[in-house]
Amino acid sequence: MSLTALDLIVLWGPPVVIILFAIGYYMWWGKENEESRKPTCGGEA
Amino acid sequence: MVALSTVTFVLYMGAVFLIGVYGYYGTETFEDFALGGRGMKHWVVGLSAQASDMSMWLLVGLPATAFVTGLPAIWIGIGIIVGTAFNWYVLSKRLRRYSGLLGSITILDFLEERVRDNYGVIKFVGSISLVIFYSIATAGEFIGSGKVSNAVFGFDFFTGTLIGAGLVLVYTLVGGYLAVSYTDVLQSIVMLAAVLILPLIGFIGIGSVSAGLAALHSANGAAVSLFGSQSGLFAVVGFLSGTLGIGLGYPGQPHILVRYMSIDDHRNLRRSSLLGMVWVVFAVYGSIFLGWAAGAYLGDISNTDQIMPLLSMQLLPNWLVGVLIAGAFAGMMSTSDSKFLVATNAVAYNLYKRFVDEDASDRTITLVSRGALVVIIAAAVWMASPSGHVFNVILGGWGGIGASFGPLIIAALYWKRLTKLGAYAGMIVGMGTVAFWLALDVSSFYALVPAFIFSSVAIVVVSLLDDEPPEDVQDEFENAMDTSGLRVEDGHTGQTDVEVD
Repeated sequence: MSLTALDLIVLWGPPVVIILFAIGYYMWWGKENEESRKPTCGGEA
Repeated sequence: MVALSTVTFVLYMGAVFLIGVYGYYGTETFEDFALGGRGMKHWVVGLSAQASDMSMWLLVGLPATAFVTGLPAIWIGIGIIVGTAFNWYVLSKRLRRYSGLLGSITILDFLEERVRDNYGVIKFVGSISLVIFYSIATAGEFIGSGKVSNAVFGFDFFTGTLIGAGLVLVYTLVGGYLAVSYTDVLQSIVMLAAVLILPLIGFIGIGSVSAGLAALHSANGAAVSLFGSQSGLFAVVGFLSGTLGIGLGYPGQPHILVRYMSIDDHRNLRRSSLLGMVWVVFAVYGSIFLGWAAGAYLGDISNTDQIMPLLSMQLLPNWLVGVLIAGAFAGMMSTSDSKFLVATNAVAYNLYKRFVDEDASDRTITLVSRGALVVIIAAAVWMASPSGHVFNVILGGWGGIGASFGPLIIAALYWKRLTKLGAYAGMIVGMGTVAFWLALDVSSFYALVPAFIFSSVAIVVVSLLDDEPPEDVQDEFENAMDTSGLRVEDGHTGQTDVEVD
């Protein structure tokens, strides 16, 4: 018995995609507005 | 002679309690107790959110289901990963910002403040939901405790459930948010190790995923195709609702959401999310692969909740078995204490102090909180039956909480038009649908899916029929969502000055 191409895509696709997304979010997309969000008055706890 | 597995198990438990005691002495105010003083580091939040999510379900329930169902179990994994991602990337930052602005310490505080519920309905209904459905989920944890203790230490089922109940009781009494968070970091590492080591060794022996699934199919007839034996639209939709649909529960779990609220700065959630997502992907896949590997080594066994301990006794040295079993108990403890922290505070503050004795002293509140803890644990022990399955019982509780809070949390964070009456309707319809579904025992379709839909519809319809929210509530919503440059300051409630006994 061997897994079909569809089986392999469903099996390995989601974890690969989500980890790539998590890395991308950490390195790029999640940084939105951070530079412009330096405190202008006071600071957050 | 005492087995090495028992020695390592006891040593691990001792270490956990010592860390818990250390955390407890860092607790001074109610905000410390319930939210770690809103100053938790990103790595603590990332790991403790996952540890408080995953329980005996990850190490016992999910492998058992993967063992029985075969390849289709992958849909469950996908549902969990997508649900976790939704929480981190869609909810966490907004929740931290908005709850910080309102000075809310708990999820129920936040919902009440968000819609200006001056009648206490949200806290009343929410507290009832927490107590009922957390009790059900905890019964599932104790079933796991009974079965794992039986397989490894030879205790009868009831003694095993009492051991689980005793551990959870003492662990939670040490409690408080700091204690829970610190110990959860350790627990998350041990849980991850447990679900990675066993399938890794198992599949090195088997050779490949295909070979493992083929051996499983030979052993118990588990499916080797993506949808198993399901055919026809209704059957496939019902099947997907019970697998992918599990992910719908994530937005509504207060014991997980409160972790996001505890971080020192909402921008640090970006770091926490990477840690949390990597953890959950490896943990969930490890758990499913553990179940798939078992067929080649154990053949067909009837008590599927004992797969993890039986496989570890077959493949690992005795001392390491103790560590893996500790991992399963770690899952139970780290999840149960997080839930009880939420539920007992809800009973003490939202029910007792609000409706019974408004002038209750801190000492009385503490006594009520601990009394509620004992009642919930006793109810869970009473409900734990050896014929129950960890996976199904815990999912029953998960669905009830997810439907009560999930749609409302999303609406509270993303829909300015949400009103107080809409919030009431959403909670009551969500909770009622799951209760009704469980009573009818419609097991072919997971209760959370219809309950989530009905609750969402109720929120939208009733809110639109109601008057618009007051101006100040709408301005507050805009302010909390503002990402134009100014940072949102944390607010404060009077509760932060309450001393913890």
